[in-house]
Amino acid sequence: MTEGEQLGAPPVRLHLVHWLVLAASLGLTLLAWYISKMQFEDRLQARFRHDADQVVNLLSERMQKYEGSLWAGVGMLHALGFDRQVTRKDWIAFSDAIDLPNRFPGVNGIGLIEDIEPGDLQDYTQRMIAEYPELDPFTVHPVVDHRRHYIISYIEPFAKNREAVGLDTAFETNRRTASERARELGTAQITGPITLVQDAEQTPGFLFFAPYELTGPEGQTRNGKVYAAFVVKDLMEGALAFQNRRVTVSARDGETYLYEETLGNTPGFDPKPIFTHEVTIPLYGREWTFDIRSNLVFRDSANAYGPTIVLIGGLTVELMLLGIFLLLVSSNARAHRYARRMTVNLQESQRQLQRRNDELIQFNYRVSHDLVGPLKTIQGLTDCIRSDIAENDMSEVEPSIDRIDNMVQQQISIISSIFDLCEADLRPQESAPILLGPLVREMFNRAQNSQQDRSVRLDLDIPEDFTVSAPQGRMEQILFNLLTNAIKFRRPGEKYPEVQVSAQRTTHTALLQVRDNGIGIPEPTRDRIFDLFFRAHSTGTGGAGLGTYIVRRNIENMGGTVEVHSDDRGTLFMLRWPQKIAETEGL
Amino acid sequence: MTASSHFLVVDDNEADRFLNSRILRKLGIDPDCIHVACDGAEALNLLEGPLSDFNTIVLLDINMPIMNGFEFLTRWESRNAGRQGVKVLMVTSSQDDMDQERANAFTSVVGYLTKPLDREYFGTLISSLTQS
Repeated sequence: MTEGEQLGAPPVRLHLVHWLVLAASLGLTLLAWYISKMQFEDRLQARFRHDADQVVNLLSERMQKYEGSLWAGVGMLHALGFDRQVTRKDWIAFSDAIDLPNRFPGVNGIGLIEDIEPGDLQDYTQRMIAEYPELDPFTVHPVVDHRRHYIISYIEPFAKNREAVGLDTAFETNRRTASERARELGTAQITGPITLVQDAEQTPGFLFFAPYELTGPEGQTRNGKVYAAFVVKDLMEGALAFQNRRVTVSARDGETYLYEETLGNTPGFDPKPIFTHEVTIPLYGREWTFDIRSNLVFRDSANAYGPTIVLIGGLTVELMLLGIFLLLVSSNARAHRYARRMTVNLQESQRQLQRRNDELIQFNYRVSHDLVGPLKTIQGLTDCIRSDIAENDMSEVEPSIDRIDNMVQQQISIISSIFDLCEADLRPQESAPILLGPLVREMFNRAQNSQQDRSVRLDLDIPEDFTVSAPQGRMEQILFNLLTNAIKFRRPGEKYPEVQVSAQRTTHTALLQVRDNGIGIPEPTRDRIFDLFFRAHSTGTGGAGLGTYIVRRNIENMGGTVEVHSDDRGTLFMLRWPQKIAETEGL
Repeated sequence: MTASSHFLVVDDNEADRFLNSRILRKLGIDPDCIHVACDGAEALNLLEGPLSDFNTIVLLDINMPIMNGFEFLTRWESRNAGRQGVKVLMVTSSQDDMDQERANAFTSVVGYLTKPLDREYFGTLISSLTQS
């Protein structure tokens, strides 16, 4: 992996632990949702069962109440006794007393059925004709030939039940069977589904019988039933108010429907009920089956917001958790990246410092070493002079003094070069725009003076207004040393010794080229010419091996590079260093 | 002193060449037997040319341009393995132990002297070298 990849932004990756926490949290959310959904459905189911049971209970209670009224009638008959034949007037009084329409809504009418033996039919008819003067005349109908007649004698309220008066209920199986069963068992019974003769709408109905048996002094009996007639529809609607009802109800006796709430006739009917419940209960000798279904009111109240809120809430928390994790992981990664970058920077700084330090140690060592050598030589020369004087041999004294002079000059030159270099390092100058052409000329003059050699010509290929950005002091040292070398290492016997200086600048880089037609640098040593105290030539040029070293140090401190190309026709130095856009643009 | 012993002073500094030659002269060496070279390359040319038939003691500086002392030794020993007549005395201003160790690794190096030369010690050393 390269350093760049290490420093780049890696994709944010969650740790396994994060995923485990998220998975556990998601699991808990789903569990909570499931449990709350189950509980809600259980509650819903319980509510529906409660409603369904209530329907059945209401109806059962209502029937018991009706039964009570029937037995009240029976009680009245017993109170009158065997001898006292009950009259129509009695019956009206009874009916008024129990206040039928108000106390027992849903009942079509309450009446008396007398069991008449075929032989007694004549007398019975006569008695009834007397009771009903408004009928023209009272007749027992329909005429059936049966072993016993069960004839409706009275029924109240009369007006809406007048068709029933005189009806022989034995004419039809349902009525007859219930009648006989009631008589035999002595308990209240209802008929199977019938259509009441007095019901204009011809809807299903039934009769509710409570049997009586009046016993005479000689053991003779009079039998009959107090009965109530019901239109099932009225019964149901009386018992079960529509308002606020959350269920629809249908009732049937066996396969025959007694009452049906359907899409067409029932407000709030739900074609696809959430719950249905079918219950069959024994009801006074019959078995009624109730089909109870939840309706739209129930559906509205069944909207399961609770579990949904649990689920949405849980998932929201989940998302927030994921967000927090991502945030944590990414800031963690950022911190790591930052730390890594800092580490890399620190390492780089440390490497640079180490390099500088090594260079400095090397520099100090080489400088002190190379300064000591010449001093020792001077010491040797003074010894010579001293011994020559002692021996009174003056022939070599003068040359020795010249040698000392030369070496002292050379040392002064070396030390001031080192001093300049140190000063440039110690007091780094900011880059500033420099007019390059005039500076090259000035440095060339200075080099000519220092070498006391004016034979080399300067070929300046730089426009007068050309500027570069560089620290003035460093630029001077670079130019001075390169131009000094060009003069110092000119080719002896060259007819036109010259040094060519040119420069170019792009937006970001300046390029300076110094080319001479001097003696060149021998190939094997070309790589080492920028080293401290390295000298490529041993001609009497008095070089200390500092010039190109100073050039390199300065250009490297400017963030630039120097390269050298050389052959036996001359040497070319190429220097490149960065330009600061703002400064050069400002000119 | 045998007449056949020649001396070669190798130093890039003219003053040092002068000083070393002068000590040899003062020790009574025939000036015709004292030769000088400015660097390793010149020394090689002399040793493999005009001086090839003579026993020669080389006074060798280390820090020189073109071909320094060590380069000279490497080149010399690789090209003239087994040649007995050339002995090298390092004469340098370097007091670096590393340089001394490095010099002693060459078989032809017989001594390591630091500038300035002590005339008496140098004289004794030269006598013992020329007599052996």
